Amino acid sequence: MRFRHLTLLLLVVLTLPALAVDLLQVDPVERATTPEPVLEAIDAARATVEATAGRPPIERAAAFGQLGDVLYAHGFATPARQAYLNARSLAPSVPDWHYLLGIVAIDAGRLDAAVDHFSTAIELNPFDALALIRRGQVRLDQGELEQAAPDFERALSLAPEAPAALAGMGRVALHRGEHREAADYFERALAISPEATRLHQPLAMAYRGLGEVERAREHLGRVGEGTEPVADPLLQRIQSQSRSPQFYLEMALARAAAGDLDSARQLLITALHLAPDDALVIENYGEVAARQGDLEQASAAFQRLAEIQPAAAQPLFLLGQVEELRQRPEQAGQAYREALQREPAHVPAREALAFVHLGAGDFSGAEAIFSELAERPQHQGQSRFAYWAALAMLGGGDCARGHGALEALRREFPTDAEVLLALARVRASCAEVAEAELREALEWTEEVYQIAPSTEHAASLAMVYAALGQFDDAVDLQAQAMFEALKQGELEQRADLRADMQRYQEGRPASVPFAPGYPGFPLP
Amino acid sequence: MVLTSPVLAGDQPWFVDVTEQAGIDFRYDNGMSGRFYFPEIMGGGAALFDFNGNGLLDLYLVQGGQLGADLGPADRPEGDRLYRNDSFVGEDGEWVVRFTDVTTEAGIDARGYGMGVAVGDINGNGFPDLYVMNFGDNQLWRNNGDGTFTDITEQAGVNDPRWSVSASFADLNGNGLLDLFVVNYVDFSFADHRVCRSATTSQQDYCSPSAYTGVRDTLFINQGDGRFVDMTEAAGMAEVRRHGLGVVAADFNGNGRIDLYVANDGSANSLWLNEGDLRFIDDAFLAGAAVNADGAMEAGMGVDAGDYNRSGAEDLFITHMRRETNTLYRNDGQGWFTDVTAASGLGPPSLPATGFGTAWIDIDNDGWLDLVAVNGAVVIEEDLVAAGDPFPYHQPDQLFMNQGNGRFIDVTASAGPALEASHVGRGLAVGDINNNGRADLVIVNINGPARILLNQKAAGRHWLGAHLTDAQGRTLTQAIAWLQVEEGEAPLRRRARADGSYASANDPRVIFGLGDDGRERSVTVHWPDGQRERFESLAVDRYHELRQGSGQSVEDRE
Repeated sequence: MRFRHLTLLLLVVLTLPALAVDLLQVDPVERATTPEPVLEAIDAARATVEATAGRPPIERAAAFGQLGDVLYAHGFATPARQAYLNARSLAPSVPDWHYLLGIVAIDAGRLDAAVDHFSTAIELNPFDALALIRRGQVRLDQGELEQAAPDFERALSLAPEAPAALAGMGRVALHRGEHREAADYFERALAISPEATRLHQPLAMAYRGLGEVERAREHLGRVGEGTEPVADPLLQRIQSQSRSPQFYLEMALARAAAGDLDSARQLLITALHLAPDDALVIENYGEVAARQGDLEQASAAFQRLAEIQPAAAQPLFLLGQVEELRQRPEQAGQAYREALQREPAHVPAREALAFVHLGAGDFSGAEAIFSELAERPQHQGQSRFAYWAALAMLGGGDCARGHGALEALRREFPTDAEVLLALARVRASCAEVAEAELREALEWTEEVYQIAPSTEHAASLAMVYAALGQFDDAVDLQAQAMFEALKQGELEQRADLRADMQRYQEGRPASVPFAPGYPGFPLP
Repeated sequence: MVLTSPVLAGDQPWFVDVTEQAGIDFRYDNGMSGRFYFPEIMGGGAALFDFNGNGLLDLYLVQGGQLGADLGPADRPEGDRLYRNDSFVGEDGEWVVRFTDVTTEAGIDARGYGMGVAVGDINGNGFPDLYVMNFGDNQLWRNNGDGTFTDITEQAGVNDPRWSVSASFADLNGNGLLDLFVVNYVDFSFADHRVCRSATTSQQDYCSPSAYTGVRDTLFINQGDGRFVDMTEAAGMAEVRRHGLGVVAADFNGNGRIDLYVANDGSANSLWLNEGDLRFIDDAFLAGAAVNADGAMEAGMGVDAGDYNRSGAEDLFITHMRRETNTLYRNDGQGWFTDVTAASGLGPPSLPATGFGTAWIDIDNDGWLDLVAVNGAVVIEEDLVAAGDPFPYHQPDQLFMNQGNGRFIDVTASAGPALEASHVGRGLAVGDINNNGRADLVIVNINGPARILLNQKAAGRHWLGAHLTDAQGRTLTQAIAWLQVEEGEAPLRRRARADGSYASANDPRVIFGLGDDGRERSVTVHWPDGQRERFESLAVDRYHELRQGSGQSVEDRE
């Protein structure tokens, strides 16, 4: 009889709804300012919680946990915490809730509470390397470095190649003044995760502490914004709850910046699904598609953008850029002109149209636009426009005006390498100048070539040598220029290099500073 | 003398809000239009300076106003305000703080969309001048010495049309003239205005600085004839284009030349080391002050330099945004820094806050420099939205007490009701408004009241104030005063400075907190030209003008 009573009692206890657990009211969110998709997700999660009323505690806990995930994914930290507290109350032996409460506590700056939560999660699962890393990082932030060390050591025993744990030990070692050990830890972390470029800074500090200043500087030259990866399934789960197009957009931009265009595109597709008329999402989707070479999709995206932004020039400018990639300059020019009808002051469209003119051999058209851009007050890039206006003059055969324009630019920007090289070319070809001016041009071009022996720099130096009658040197350098172009896969298009080479081989200087085929100029 | 933080006194508030009593009724109007133009969330600053030479600190408050593509100064009826300090001793022997708006009679008409203000005596006439920074054209107001100011921007050649926020006047080439370094933020224009959204909810919000390109800062060198020359490029500074917000000038590496530290928002900070001959190199990375201990760039807003640990070198404190800690860089004496935020205890309490104006001040006059941080968010605070707040960006300010052992504690909760207020804080100017030896606070809040908080915490403690001047009695910033506390103890070191914080200018006098020790003191001054002098038998609890040439010359020490 007693046994039956006990059994019945057990059955009751196990199936009894969580009436005895005090649950918190999870605060509602402000509905007026919260976007609809976000509200839908939160409402759905709340409905799930309500649907689990009367269900076993473990089920209810999961429902509250999911509500917490949805709330936290959208920045509602206070109600998220309330939901997680409920999940914990209902299922205290599940380490996830303690871990997530720790994450939320970090966000709120309650680091003592965070440590407590992570400690409970670790007690429940002593093999949780991630919780150990998180607790260690919090202890670092609290200045409790000696307490942080065992966490990272334990994490490394479980996951010897965890970059975050190695970085944590590096921080501890730096604080202790153990610079050699610190350097070793950071070197190991970077060897595993070279993308964690910010670690070059503390590594540099370790080398600085060792007196190895040059080595420190070397690493400082490699400091970036990349962080050590932390594989966090719970946070990834939370992120997957996001219904915020902006979230996916920002993730996409980050992936694109890291060169992962496939992931970026997928994320943008998700963002588009949530916000099909979001201009920024559409624009970025189009740009990623273009970078991937999917010009059809890119074009479609920018067409859509142009429809939803009927007054904006940017979509049409972007369409023009796609047409250029498709090698359809006429269509590109048309798109730029339409862009300028919408916004006459859209500088990128103006500039792009000028280059279309230049590439088509319409030098006067190009010059007019570049000159107008160069005269705009206070605009960045004024010198660039003036430079190209001068080149357009030269392309049109007006050496005197082009020469004068470049001399004026040189007075204003005496150390601008591009201006000096162009001026050197003019002096070495169409302009009648004294030998002293040619010698001056030789100095410029030699100096620039020494710094960077690129195609253009070699070709410019060759032109000056030819003008001075040093044709053997000119031929050698022109060959160098052509070799550089070959390495870049551009030799085929560089009719200008071949034309000038022929002249030098025949003992003749260049006749024009920029022959047909020079980048930006039409082919012969 | 025991120089540790005392047991906190019972219910005595540490600061008292005397704004109303003082007659100040000023709100920084950010002109928000619902379009979330970036400048709306970034202004404004304040200056505490003695414009009429009567020994009392006057107040200049920068105003914003209507903001839009077609709006200019003429569209803003209310501009910046200049308040003359007309405080007096009441019948009960207590100071009555009183300010009078003298903007009009001073001839100041500053209606740009104001960001910040810097103070310096550019022509050495003994009267400090004002450089007002705007989103748009800046203005240089020369103090005529007769209560009036004249706009000499054009003739001085110091306009900078970029978005300027903070600036520092400092003699960078050692010729006795104050040069001007202007920190600029981003390349924002109405034509390029971007619609930015919260990553979590996609609600429209203010942009992150990364949405715009950083712009270069500007170095103007004083020619001595009322003109300045833009030497940014020649100095090697023109190629660095970051998101500058805060600046402080000091000799960080002890080589006798004044360097410049720039706090950048979301990009690496710059430490421009003065190489002489007006050449500067940015060595912040090797110096360990470009990014934090994790190697992360932070959202640097406000900055101040001060010797918090009595090591004899200028340390740096920078305020950052929420989810980043503020950062304390300890100077090892040679201009190399270590991020000691974690060990200092300053990290965790700053995580929920977005800090702007900040200053090293000895709140309780125990001889150890404490910290003030003025807070206010730059992106929506979800909890405030949930509470239906119409402007959900406000946060309370914070005080951090130096324990004297390298650690600080957050004492805000103990400081009284004046520190319970929650506003969208930006500028902070610190100075002794009523000349009682206690550093007071002036805080500028976006769409909120400017506040004057008088320091009561240090009441009853001894102090010694010093106004460091040149041979003609003109204020000398960058002079450093040392006071020996006890034999065998590290001396107190205070640098005379007007710059630092955020978009603001401070009282250039120095105050040594002496705790319970009322003995006469000696102060040694290291003048900017390298000379050193000792001033003996200085009575405590009063200000002394320490004039160069009037002390006893001191040989260089090993």
